[in-house]
Amino acid sequence: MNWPPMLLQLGIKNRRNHIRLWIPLFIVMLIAFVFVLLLAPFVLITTIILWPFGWGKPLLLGGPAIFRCLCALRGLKVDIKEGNQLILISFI
Amino acid sequence: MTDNQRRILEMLSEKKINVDEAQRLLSLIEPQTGSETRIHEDSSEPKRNPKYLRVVVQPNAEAGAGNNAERVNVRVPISLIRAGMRLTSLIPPQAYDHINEAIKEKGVDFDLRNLKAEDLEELVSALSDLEVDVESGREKVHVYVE
Repeated sequence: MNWPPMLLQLGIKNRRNHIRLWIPLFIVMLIAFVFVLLLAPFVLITTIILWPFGWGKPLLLGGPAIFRCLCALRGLKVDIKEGNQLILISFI
Repeated sequence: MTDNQRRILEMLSEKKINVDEAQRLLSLIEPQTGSETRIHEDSSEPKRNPKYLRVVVQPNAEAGAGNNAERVNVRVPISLIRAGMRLTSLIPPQAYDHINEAIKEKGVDFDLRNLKAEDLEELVSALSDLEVDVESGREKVHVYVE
């Protein structure tokens, strides 16, 4: 499994704005990790309640699956230019 | 030299067969040895391990597209495709019917229950051979795996 992306580079350029942002995802992930730890007991209780209805398994395995997707985002790059307009999204 | 060829030559040296018969036998086994070589060549070719799916749209210089033409450069990690496809295993059984109906409405008659993990792996590995080149009017579209 890959390491999750550490930085997100965002770039938006049009006639009015020219924004280029470097978002430190490692800090965002640390905050998200704390939230996940706090929510974990509630998720477990909800999983037990919803297990007979068939929604327990997706709820329980959803977290790791989403984390896997997050890790796989490293290397994703979307770069669209048209005239003076530009959109750039890059996970590093 | 294969075992069969050696055996024929041995039979010729022992004068069990004459030159014409040896020639005829060798010509019979030749296509077989040819195919063996070909298979060997194919298997010796290093298998690529694709990492990214690239979609590049560039203005067609021949069609006279200027600087205002759209340029797209998208790089999608193959691991993201794999991880995304694995999410289908988390779909609750009740939701399958709704999803299948929605897909059918879009004109794709496909049952999501038939999508197995091993099929996904095969599908993703088959992407390594993907290469699409479209040249239309003002733009050139190139989809490939690297």
